[in-house]
Amino acid sequence: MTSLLKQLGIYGWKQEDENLVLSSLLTGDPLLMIGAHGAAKTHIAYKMAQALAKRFIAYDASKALFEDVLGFPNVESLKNGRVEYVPSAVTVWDKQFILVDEINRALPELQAKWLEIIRSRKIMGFPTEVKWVWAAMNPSTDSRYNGTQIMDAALIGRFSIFLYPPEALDMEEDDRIRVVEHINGDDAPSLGEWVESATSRTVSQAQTGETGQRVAQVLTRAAGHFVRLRAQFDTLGTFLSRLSVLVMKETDGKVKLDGRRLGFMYRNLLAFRAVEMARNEALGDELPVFSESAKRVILASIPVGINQDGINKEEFLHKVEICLDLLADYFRNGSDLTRTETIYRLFTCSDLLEKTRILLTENLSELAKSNAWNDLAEGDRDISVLAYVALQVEAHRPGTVPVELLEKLAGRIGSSSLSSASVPLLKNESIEHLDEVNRLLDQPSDLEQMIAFHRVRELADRGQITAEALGRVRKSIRQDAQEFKRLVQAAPVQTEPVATVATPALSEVEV
Amino acid sequence: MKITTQKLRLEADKEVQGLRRLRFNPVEVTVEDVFLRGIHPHSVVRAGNQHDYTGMADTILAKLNEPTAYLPELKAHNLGHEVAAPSYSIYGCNDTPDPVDRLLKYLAENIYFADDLTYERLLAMAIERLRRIWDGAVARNMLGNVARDFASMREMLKRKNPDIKVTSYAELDEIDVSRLFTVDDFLTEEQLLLSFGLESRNFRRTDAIQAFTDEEGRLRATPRIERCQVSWGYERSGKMPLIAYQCHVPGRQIRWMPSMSDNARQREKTRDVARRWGKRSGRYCFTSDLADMPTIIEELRMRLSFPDLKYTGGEKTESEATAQVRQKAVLTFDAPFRIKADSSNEAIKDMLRRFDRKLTGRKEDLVQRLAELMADQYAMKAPEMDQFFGARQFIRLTHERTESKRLPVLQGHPMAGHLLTMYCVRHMRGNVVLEAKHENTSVNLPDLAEAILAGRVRLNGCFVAVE
Repeated sequence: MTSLLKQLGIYGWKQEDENLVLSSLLTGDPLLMIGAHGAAKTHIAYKMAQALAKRFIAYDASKALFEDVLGFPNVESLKNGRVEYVPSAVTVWDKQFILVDEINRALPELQAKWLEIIRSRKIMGFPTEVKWVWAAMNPSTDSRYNGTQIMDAALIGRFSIFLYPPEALDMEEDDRIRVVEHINGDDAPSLGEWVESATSRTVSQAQTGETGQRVAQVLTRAAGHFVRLRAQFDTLGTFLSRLSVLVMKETDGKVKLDGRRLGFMYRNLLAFRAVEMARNEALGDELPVFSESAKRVILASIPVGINQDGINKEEFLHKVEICLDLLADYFRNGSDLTRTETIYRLFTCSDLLEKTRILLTENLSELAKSNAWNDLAEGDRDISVLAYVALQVEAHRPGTVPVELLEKLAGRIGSSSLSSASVPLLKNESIEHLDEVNRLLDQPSDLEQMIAFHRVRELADRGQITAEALGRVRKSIRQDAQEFKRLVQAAPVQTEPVATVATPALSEVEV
Repeated sequence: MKITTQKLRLEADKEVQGLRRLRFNPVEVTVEDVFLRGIHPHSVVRAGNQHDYTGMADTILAKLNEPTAYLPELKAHNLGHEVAAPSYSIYGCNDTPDPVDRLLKYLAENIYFADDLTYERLLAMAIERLRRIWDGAVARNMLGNVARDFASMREMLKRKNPDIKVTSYAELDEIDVSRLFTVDDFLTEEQLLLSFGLESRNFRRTDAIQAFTDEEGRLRATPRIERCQVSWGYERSGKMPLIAYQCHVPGRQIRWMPSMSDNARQREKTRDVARRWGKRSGRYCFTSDLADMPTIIEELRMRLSFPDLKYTGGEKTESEATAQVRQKAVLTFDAPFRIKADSSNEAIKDMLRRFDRKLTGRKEDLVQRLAELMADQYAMKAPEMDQFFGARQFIRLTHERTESKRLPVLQGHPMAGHLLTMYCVRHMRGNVVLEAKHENTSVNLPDLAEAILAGRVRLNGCFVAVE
């Protein structure tokens, strides 16, 4: 693996973090680095801009005045009724790449001003030449950083990628040693007085330029891949839409991915993969498994725990990770949505018998099965019919239900659900359909009867007992029963050889 | 079917010309009056227990206590105050317990109704009446109200007749005060004149009663009544439960919706009713003309009621017709047994005796012997149970179900419950799927039997058959 960042004197970053940096450079969508002081946040922006020969400036948001960014108003222009600003070495107008450092130390009223340039690359409505905006901050959740402010949600929402640069102690020892030994422009500033500066710096200007050319080469190739991938993954938007619902459900509504966030994810996924492919071609780097890369990109695209808001970032990201693992087949199967749709239906549909059907008939991954069974067994919902059907199938096909959940599932069959007493009273005009309802409840087998109790109960709970609805239910009872019976019959019970002793049939038992 | 309501009117007061009094009497009303014009169905909702659930009495009170119901000039002279519901005692009182009737009676006796009446005119009316009813008792009472004590009264009497001799209240009561004083002697005491000249000092405008009556003076507090209940309670029995209809009257048609339990005769009867009166408008719920309602009610010997009628604020209820679906259930099985380690020695011995086992020894010995018996019997009966469970599987549900039947194997065997429990414990896969081919032999039979008897191993819940 080639590390372009190492060639710029930035050590210890994982390849995937490096690719996130390159993805941001490819698309120009804003990147926010969150890390402790000394994690090379400012340095990476400076070195990358230098390597790519882009006009760069880093503003310190904790003390930068608006006039520093804008310049002073041109009095002569004002006389003529035109608003213009006098540019200077530190104004933003001609810069191509900017870093808004310490962004969470800017006062809330100044955060709004940074928002404009991050959002639209404009300031006071005037366009600039800025193409890349990165920002950096110390973690607000770290009690060591007293001066940090709460970040406005709208401002957070403008960043596409959230990157957590490593601290020295998180790195491999080799990288840590390199960090220790590295001397850059700010280090030992007077050394150059006594020896040639070129010899004192670990990374020379020439090396930086060469690395910049490699980065540019990778990005140029990646841009081509981006366009091709976009056409190839034409269902990516649908996938992300499904993912957002699943994530919201899994995190109990705490993580809501809005349209802009999903848009960022969409571009980041394509850009990241494009960068990986470009590196593979240009630098000979190994091409990682897409599903793993996708997981990394999506997790890096979700702003969780940026503020001190009591959210356990690890816990939430873990939940998102589970959702991604469940849907990972999408990336494995070359953007085929079929499996994604199945998983999506399994976790989001409210019809218990449809869930049962998916669980018992679809070829699901162990992870999906285990998660779905667990969700059902642990949830509050009455899953009697599902548990009943599943255990019937389990009796014929051992291993259908994870063995550790068998007893739990058996405990979820409420005794009331075994009889029509669980069907609510019919009310008012529904009473007219009493005979049809009674006929529906009169089924030839226990399985059909359980399905009928469930379907009629659902209908009565919703107060939707009509001739049409009952007709639909009659049909669905028949279909469900046929399908589940087929499952049961697919693997007939392996019974002991029948001896000659006569035993009464169950139907002969007096009820 | 006869429905009556109270009809109200104002009549001239017999004593004081110019003032009017409330009078009321029951009148018959039609179902159209009740449902389409909102006439209060008084005879139907009339409360025998003082509780006016419709809030009619409260509505009357609220309307009469509204500021617009008073005569402003008289109210300024404290001749108009809030009316409160008359109290009622069930002991020694002949009053009707119905709050509306009682209130109307109270209003008739205690409220004057008038229009455009000035204070001066009212005072003149009071003086005029006083002159007519002037006698010793009235004069004595007025004197007692003007004079604060006996000495003052004596002084007033002396002023009229210096020779009069009064030394006690008894002597005072002997004197006909009306011969010494005239109404004119009290003309400065206006409040006293009003109090003694009129039967009540509480006045209302004559149009105040229009707020709770229709143009004919019949009680009404709502423009329409849309719901009622018709129930058939006269022939109620175990075989024929009560039939009740919730009725909705959106206009000149009435929608009948029956409440039913899972009773075939009841359903049959409701179908008959719908066939007879519904004109093919439904099998159970049906529609009829409102005009037919009295005939239907009379022919079916039913009763009309208005459980949801409520004129006052607060939560309005809306009764619903309900029907119970037919009772069907999935068959469940269990394997209960009675004799356990904590059963009496006699009960354990009784079981051992059946199998010719030794009956002597302490309780522990008996339980041990019972466990051994179970193990022996299990070994004997295992083929029969294998045969039964080899032909069918079961699923154990962890919830108990009282309707469960005993597993139909080893029927008649005195230890069937014990042996089946042992079998189930040994043959359940995942503690749920009961099948002959699965067997857990990690515990030997006597130990398992002993654990079951001691309650250390339990077989909770019930079984359903695998299809």
